[in-house]
Amino acid sequence: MAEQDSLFELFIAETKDHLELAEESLLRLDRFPTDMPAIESCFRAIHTIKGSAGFLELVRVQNLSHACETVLDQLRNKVLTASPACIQLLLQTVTCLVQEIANLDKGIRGPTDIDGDLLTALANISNEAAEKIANPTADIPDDLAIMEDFIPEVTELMNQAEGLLINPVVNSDSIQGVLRSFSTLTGICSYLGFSKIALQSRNAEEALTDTTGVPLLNLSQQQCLSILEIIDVIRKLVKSLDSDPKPTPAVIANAPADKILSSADTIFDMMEMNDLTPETSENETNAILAPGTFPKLVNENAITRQGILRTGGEGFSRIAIAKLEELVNLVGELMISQSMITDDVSTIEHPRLRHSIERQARIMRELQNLALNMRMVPLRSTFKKIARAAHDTAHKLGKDVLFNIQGEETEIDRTIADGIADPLMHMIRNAVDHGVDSPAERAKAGKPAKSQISLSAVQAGDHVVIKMEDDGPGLDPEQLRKKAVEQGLLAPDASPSSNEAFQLIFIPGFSTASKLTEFSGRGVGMDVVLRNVQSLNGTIDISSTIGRGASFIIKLPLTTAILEAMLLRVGSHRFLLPVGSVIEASQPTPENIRSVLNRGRVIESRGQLLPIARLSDLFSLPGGGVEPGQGILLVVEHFNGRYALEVDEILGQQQVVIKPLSKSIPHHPGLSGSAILSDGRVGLILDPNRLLPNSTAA
Amino acid sequence: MTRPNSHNESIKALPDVVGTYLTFMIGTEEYGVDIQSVSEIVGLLPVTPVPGSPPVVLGVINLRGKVIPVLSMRILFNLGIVEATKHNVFIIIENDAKLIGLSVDQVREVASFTKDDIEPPPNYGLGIDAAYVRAIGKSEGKIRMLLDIKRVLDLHSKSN
Repeated sequence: MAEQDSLFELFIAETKDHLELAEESLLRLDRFPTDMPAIESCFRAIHTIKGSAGFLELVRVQNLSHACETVLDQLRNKVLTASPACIQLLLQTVTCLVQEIANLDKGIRGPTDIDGDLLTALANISNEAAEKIANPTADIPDDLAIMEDFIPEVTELMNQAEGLLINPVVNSDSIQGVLRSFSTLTGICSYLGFSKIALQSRNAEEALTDTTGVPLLNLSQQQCLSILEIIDVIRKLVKSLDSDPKPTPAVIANAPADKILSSADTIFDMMEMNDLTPETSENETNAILAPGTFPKLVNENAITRQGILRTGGEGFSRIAIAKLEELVNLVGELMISQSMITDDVSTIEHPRLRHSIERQARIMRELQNLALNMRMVPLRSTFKKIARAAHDTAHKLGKDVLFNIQGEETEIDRTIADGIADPLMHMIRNAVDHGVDSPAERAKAGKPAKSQISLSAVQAGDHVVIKMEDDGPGLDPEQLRKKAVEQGLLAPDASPSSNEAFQLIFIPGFSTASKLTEFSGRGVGMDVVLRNVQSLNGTIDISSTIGRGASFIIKLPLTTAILEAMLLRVGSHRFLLPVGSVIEASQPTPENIRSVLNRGRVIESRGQLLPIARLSDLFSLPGGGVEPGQGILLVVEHFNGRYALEVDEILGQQQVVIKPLSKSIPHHPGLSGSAILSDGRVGLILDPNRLLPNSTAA
Repeated sequence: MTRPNSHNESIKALPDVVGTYLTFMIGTEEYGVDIQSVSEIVGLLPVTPVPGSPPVVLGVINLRGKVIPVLSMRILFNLGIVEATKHNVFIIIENDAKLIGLSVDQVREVASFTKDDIEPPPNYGLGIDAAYVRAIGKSEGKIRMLLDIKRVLDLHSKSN
């Protein structure tokens, strides 16, 4: 033990020195961003820290320094330029490490708050840099208007081809289908002058035909994958066209060629000979990215940012998202204005006026439905992306998985569809990685031979529920608990329930993977997934039976914009409750209300005993509200069950435009947003899932 | 009170404090905020309190369709709340592309400060947290505390 103590003390002392050196180097780098010796010495310092921390099993220090080291390595290899933001982040990391060491020195072992955010931020930088070199850019056409039609067309063609290729059965018909897509694409590109894309497309065509030009009768797995990779490259080339009207031509590194060369096909030899390889110029060793400015990020969602307006099935038109949002906003305001007029007019005795206003109101409602509808898109394209990711992951991991999708025609607000793609992507990779057990285990457990992962979407009230379910080993609450304690994220004597144990995976830095795989186990995933889902005003819940499987349930609001809500009053305060959350409302008589020991007051509803929660108590509102038992009870859904919310009065129901509550103001978690009421005042919107104390997820 | 050398150094560190400020009264003291950060001034609007927010946050208001939070400068500076008069207004500040309103007792004027008018704030005796004050403006025989808007808006979210 003494030996270990002195090792520890030595580590603390040495690390303090290293951190000082690292900080010095970073400060120097701040003034001279191209100072390579500074980068080198910082890298060495952090690298050493990582090693020693690993040896002493100080996981947090190790994780932080690893993330930091990755970024520094990229700086060293000039894959990344040292922007002020990047240096700031590194300095923050060093500060965090200093604090961590100080804590360890004092014997405090607990998470420092900055950890998760820092790890995420560092990971983002290194991922962006890695992606930068993987993103080739295409030729820049002179006439940007051509792109308007070209891009959706290419997207459609590639989606078609991909769909045929990831099908379990690829026969000569599907091969011809794929070939047709590529032929069409080659034709268009040659005509419009997109030579790089044309070249890729021709390569694909050649891979699909034999030497005499006849389509192949079948394709090996390997060949399918090669073509899928060409599809990916073409998509990236297209993305680079759409993201920036005047993309800065960037010199590309080896990455794409390497990635493609992983397949032994000769097509890819041909690819090496075109401009996907770095332009060797005298300046090759200097910044691989455009010198001077920090490179503009290719917007992953550039293509999806343009909305498509369906005009009675006759074709499509591209409309900027900003215009659509402005339109929906204005229609929303118009609705409020309308209801204000209706209110004012209701006291006037003027039949014709009332009649005209009613007619106007009807037209307004139709207009609003239309506006809302314009923002809705089916989840199909998002799900297709996930299907592709599932296929790729399964193949890379050598797992045989049956993947099925249901409800892809379910529609949801376009920004939500975009926003949910990344979280789902991560989750599907997790599912394939951890949610699939081996054939032997399956046989023992009496499960069917092929593992199954299913993704489904269904509309429920004013929400869309997306479920990802696997029939693998499931989540083991005890194992989760142990890992959390090991990583210092949970007190050793804590005894979480199964549900609480499941929630542990959402803590930043948590990971049960025994090794870092390419896909998961980095420990930076599920907390980001949770945050993304929450930023869409959604929720994630987990349910699992050990040995039988796990399911992740994401609930998302149907639209970001408009809500049908009940207006409630407690004392002199008014609140809005989404109509979709209310199961029933009643005015109970004293006989129905009972008091249960330790559980407070309960009411019987549909054969169940539900706890009663008073809104005035939950919010500590001054001037309480009516006497208990005199108010109205609203039965609402909570992910752990139902309960009854007690308020003074229901004032009515109205449609409101949701305005987010400023994030810079801390507030009760049970408030999900705000809206303007018909008298011009602000009403706060309630979220029944988060009203009760202890109901917030990690 | 301060040695000349450090005084000059502090002045040199305040080049960005020079400029034009909107000044207003809180209690008996006059304060100023950089005019560039001021989006508009509105008379008192109905405020909806937000449960679970720190005491300094009065609530939210409807500013032409936008829901924005408003803070009470009196509470921020630890003065009691008094009844509103016709002079009370909200100064709407734009910070980081977000709008926040400050409830003040009375708006004074728009005043310009040159480097001769400005002094660094003393470490004590201000009556409010020195972190909020960027500098002291002395001109026209008045002493006005020039506020650091970012600090004012940030600190509130940490206190509770």
